[in-house]
Amino acid sequence: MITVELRLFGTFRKYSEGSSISIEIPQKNTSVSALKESIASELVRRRPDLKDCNKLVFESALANEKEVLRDNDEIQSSCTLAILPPVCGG
Amino acid sequence: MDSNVFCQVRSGEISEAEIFQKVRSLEHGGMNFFFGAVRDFNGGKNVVAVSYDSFEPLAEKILREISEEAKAKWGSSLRICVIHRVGKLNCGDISVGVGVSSRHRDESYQASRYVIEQLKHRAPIWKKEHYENGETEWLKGHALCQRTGAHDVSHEH
Repeated sequence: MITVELRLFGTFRKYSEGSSISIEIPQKNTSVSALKESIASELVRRRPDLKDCNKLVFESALANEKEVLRDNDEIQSSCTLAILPPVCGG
Repeated sequence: MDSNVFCQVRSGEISEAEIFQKVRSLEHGGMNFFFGAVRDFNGGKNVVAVSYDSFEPLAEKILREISEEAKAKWGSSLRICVIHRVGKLNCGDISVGVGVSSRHRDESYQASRYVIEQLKHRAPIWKKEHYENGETEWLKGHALCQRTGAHDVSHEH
């Protein structure tokens, strides 16, 4: 089992009182796209009252501290990632 | 790291003088400064404050990339300073400052505009407005683009 510690930012902070949540994925070679499915399921489980969670997850990017990931990148081991909703700095 | 580029995401206040000092140069005859401030009205609602959130390590890296792109477009001698705040800001507070200096004014005008527009589309920064009636709302924004190429990403955190 691989654990992704997922840091939450912006509107995703509504889904946890902490700054991150843990997502368990069953195997190596899980794509970022598949990981998003697991993230969406976990977030809906946590806050079924919030609408459009799936849409928001798939509009968002996953990233590490160095780069934004592609949907076909693969997770090979436990790691820390961040989920980044659409940005609006300035 | 390019000493002519300074990019920072921080909670501390932004000083106009600090940005001026970062970009001034005896070689440069043009300096351009942009400051973004918290507005008291947006989307038909009275805003009393804005909270900024950021994934800071990546945000600073992306701001440096944007600055390097500006130097590639308008001259390697450009000096660029970008500072963005995080945390809760009151109306009128400066949330972002961009300073650019160049040999002549045209490059600094163009590079300054490029940096702030790219920042708004690419830097992982978000804002939550606080309204007069006590409600809050995270603002909608621009979806981040993915880089090209695919590989194992687990070891890069």
